[in-house]
Amino acid sequence: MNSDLYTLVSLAARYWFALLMVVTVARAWHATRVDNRRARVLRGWMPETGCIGEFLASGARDRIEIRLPIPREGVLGSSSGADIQIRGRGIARNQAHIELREGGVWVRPLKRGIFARNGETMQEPFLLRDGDIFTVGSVQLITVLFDPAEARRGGGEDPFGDEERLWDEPRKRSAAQDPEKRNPSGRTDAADPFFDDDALWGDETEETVWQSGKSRHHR
Amino acid sequence: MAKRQIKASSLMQVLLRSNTRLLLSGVIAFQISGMLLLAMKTSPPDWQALLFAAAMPCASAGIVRLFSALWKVDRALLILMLFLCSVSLVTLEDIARSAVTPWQQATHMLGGFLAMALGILTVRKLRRYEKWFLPLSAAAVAGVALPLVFGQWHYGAKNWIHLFGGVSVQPAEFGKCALILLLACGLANRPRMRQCVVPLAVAAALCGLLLAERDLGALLLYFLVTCAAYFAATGNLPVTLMGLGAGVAGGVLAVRMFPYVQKRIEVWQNPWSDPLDKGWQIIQALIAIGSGGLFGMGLGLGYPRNIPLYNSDFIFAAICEEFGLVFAVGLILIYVIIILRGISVAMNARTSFHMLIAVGVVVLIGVQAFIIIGGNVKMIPLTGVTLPFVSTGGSSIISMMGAFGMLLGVSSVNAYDEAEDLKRLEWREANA
Repeated sequence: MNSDLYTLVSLAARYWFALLMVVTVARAWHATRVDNRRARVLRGWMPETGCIGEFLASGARDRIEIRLPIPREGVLGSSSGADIQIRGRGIARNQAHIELREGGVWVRPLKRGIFARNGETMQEPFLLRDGDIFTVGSVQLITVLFDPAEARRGGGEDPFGDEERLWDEPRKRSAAQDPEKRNPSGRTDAADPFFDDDALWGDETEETVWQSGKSRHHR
Repeated sequence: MAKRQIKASSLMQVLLRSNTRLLLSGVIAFQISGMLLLAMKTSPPDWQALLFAAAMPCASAGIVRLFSALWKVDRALLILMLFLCSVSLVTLEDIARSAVTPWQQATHMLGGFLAMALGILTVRKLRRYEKWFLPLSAAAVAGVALPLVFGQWHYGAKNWIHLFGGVSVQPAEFGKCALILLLACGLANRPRMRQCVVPLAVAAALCGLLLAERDLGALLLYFLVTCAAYFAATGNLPVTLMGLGAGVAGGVLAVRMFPYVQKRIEVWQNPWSDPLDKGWQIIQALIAIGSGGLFGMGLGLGYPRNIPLYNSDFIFAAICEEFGLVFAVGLILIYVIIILRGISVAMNARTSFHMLIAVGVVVLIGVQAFIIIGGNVKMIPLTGVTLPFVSTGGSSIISMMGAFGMLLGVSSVNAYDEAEDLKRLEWREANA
């Protein structure tokens, strides 16, 4: 290409590159807004997002009065900044630290005080088990873990170790129920409809990807 | 008020991720058109540019597909990073004096993708992170201290090590990744004040070493990343502000004590006082930015080689001259969007360890981009840092992509956790 022709083409291409940049920025901004809205919707509809279980707090008459989600990592106490906020007599502002680690859910008492598990006073870190009954000050907490197999005691299964298992159905409590027959969404495989890489270049729109229910990401 | 009952299937209708096909198509269109135009600049056509025009789209699509399939990373973040890399290669193919420079940059980028994969795997697989604090600290301090013993003076700083075969490495660049990781390991799980002392002391030691090496740009980055990580970990605003104040006081002291710092401030304040020597660099950069206008002089039609260090410190000025102000502002917005997405990744992280990693990487990218762009346009005094993913520099691009990989790793962990939550919701409905 001679220099005059190249100059003409290059001068014209300036607007093309500017247009490409504007389109790229606009599309990236749109994608960011969609993903932020997605995350907000998920948090709104599933308040226990990221939680591994819940404490059932019982009151004076042994009735379940409140359910407290247990996050993967957080502080239990009476302060307003605590992740699991429990108000009552004898409860410290930061009573204990809870963390999901390899081997299970660890509880580390932060303050000396009334912190008993199944009637036994706890001062050292310990593994949380499904069904444990805590007494924190004047409040009694019953532990419910969503997936007890993840929280096996000492040296047990790494909850993040087997990524394949993350795509499987959570373990059932009742052997009589068959989730494959009762799954309302119709999907029985380990596919994730939101990571359909085939749709990257295919003709399917966003709306049809998840409706197809096909196993595209079976691993 | 009774909680509304929702079905998992209804929820999944609104939870579709953004479609990134158009975004990737825009990036590929830029790669092909830029390289084809540069190939037509010479007669016969430049085969190197033609090769890039063919290889870059394939590599981009392949990397997005591979990383998404393997680890479920944030695709939009990955594509935006690829766009910045594309801008780098197109610009270097045009302005570099040697034809080897874009090849070197592409080779460094390939190494960077390996570093990115390593970063993703590190974040996904790291479990007992508190045990890694001491080894990381020792490695970071030893690495950053190496130039003091074996290093060479380069542009007023002793931060390079020359290895065999003409390869030179800047350990402070890799120290950034180590700093982010060790701060995440040391400051996770809501530490109390006394638990923060050791991580902050390690960060202070690294800053001291950089001060001794006169690497002021890296020192500023390390300091700000540490302050941001501390605030994110503890939420303690008064102490964070005290730390920032101490940093400002240290800066004022440095201006008074060190002559080279005074000279940089003087040149920044009035480059025209010495236009042929100390002010030459910034004046040429300003002329280049002004010459570009809104849409630039055209790819291959500018004179960016008049700017000293046009392919590293002043590549932003070269981009402004060739592509124009609209393109340059768009480039800045790309960095802003990367920061916003990174902040979303940090906020959606389920553990403080992952959150701190995301915060550290976002602050690193944002502050580094701000420092170098601000220096190019004379908003702040110039420091010797690179424009992330755009400037030449093997150590810079590999370390930055490794850090970016850690951010993608956190996004991957978030995605898996979210899928698990949705599956659990579905299971609960089935068993209700």
